[in-house]
Amino acid sequence: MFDAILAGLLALATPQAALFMCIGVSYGLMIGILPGLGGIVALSLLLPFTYGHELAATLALLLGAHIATIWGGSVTSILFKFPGAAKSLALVFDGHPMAQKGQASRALGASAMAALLGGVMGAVFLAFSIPLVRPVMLALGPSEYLMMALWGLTIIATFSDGTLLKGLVATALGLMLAYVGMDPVSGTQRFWFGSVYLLDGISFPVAMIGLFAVAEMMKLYVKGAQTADRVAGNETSTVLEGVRDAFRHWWLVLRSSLLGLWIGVLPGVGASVGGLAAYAQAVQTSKTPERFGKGAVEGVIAPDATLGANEGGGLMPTLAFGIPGGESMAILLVAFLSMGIVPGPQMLISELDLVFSMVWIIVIANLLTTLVGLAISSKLARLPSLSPNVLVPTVLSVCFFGAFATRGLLEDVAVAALFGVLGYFMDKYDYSRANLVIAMVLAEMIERNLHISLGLYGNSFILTRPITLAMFLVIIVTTALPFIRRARETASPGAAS
Amino acid sequence: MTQRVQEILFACALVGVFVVYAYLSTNFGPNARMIPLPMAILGCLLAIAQVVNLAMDREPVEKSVEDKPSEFAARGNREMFALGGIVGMVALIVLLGPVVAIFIFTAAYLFVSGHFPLVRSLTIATLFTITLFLLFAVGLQLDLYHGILEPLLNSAP
Repeated sequence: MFDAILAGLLALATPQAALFMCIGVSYGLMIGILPGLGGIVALSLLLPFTYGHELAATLALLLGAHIATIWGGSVTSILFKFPGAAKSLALVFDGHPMAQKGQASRALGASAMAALLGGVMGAVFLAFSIPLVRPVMLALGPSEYLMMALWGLTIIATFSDGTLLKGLVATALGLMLAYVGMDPVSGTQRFWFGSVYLLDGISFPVAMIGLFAVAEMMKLYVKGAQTADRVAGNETSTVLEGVRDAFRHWWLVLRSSLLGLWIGVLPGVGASVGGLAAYAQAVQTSKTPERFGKGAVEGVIAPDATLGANEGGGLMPTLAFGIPGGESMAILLVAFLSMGIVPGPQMLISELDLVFSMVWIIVIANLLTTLVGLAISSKLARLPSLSPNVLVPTVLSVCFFGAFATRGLLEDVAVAALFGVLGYFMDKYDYSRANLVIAMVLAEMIERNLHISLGLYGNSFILTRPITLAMFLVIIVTTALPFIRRARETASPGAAS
Repeated sequence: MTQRVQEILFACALVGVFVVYAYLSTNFGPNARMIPLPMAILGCLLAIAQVVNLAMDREPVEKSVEDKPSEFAARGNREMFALGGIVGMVALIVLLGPVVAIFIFTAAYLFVSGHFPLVRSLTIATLFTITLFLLFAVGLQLDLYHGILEPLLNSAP
């Protein structure tokens, strides 16, 4: 195995591989920062360029771009309060308040370093743990995936903005919006109002662009103030502070990375759940949970460490079983097949050096992304203090272009605008947009796995499957904990103070 | 219209949305409506509870703006302008395509807001539009939409 580790590294020690890695990382950073365009778009557009080059260089290009889009998505979440991709949603909760307090550099530095540490842990995990995880993966069925999705929904109860009632209304609305289009189980056309466009459903990136980016620009125009309550040049933090924060909270980084690995390993769960779960566990395990939502650096570190580790975890089922760990992995799988790489158990025997090349690529790409990110963070941190008269037209233009670019459909521009108006009023009247978005992400997973579970195991599948029952009990406990905590604080305010 | 009335209207709109969803769900087969119908009914009940809470003054409403009527009215006007701006931009994109629309919107916004004089606004808008064009149309090879008016403009003498 040591020979394979060394061979994997040597395969990357060519000028072409190094060049392709740099191109991939730069390209991925740029795409990641643009709203609505995430890792999927970056990889899709690179596919045509993967033919005719040496294998290691091509992998460096693809994986390097994919890794870099993760941090790119975090940048927009922190600086502009709209997620560059669904998986970066959790960064908005504390990353943006940090930017508003003049700590954008610190937030970006913590984000970059946490992503690097998580990414390295993900790569190491990928290298050593396939034989250990395989039996666990094979033991999980649709009912367990249903519980994972329900757990994602119950996390909503942990950090609803505004009142719980409004949070639940937003959640229900998100679920309903997700069910527009063709039902994947029965093929029924639902809520399409005779429009062929709506048969495909509402595009999630477009909805996010509207709910967060367009709505924030509307809010900025109405408020007429800078996004950061400070003058340009009055940044009170440094990138190095953020880097130190990531090391200071090493235990949180480790826990979040393990969570990201677990989420990445499970096919079809997606990193969106991972980022939110990491944030929730950071809140629940903190001694001062009241700081979260107001600029706690742990709220940036936890999701980014999870997202970094998620990539290594996601590669495992993709390489070992040919089952994509997420949407981006599905595109990587297509690329692997076109390059003559056949994922599966045999790959771990006869192509071990290739597997380790990918491990090294993840490590090096994370390192490169972090180095570039740290170098430009202090410049990026000044962006939110631009005048709203400059920010509003430029960001709106990029958003509507991005909305059009997701599927090349003009209707997506109109949908982005509609969601922008919805997002503005939701924010104005304190309905959580995050709840709506989380529900949209998880809706299909819930419905699909519920139908499969009922079909395979019958109506009492929760009781007849031990793992499902255990997960269901965990959901009940973790959902009840915030309410019990709040009830205790209300009952004994003297003790609390 | 007070803040509370606005919130009640918004909550009523949500009730209406859920009622429509619930009604439409009743036309689906049992598998297709297994989750949408209960969720729509639940959403409707939650939204009605929210309306009741607001109507009976059980829920706090942002007071700071209402206490300053002139600021409240000014915010209302700016909201109308913001909505109009969004609608205008979408209309420009539909009529002229994203590239031309972005140039016009950006230049107009920079100039009308008083941030830059006309020539500088046009220059910045041009550079910005070219950057986006290079990024999306050239870099990402996006097939651009040219607008409903393109055939008319092309056939003009």
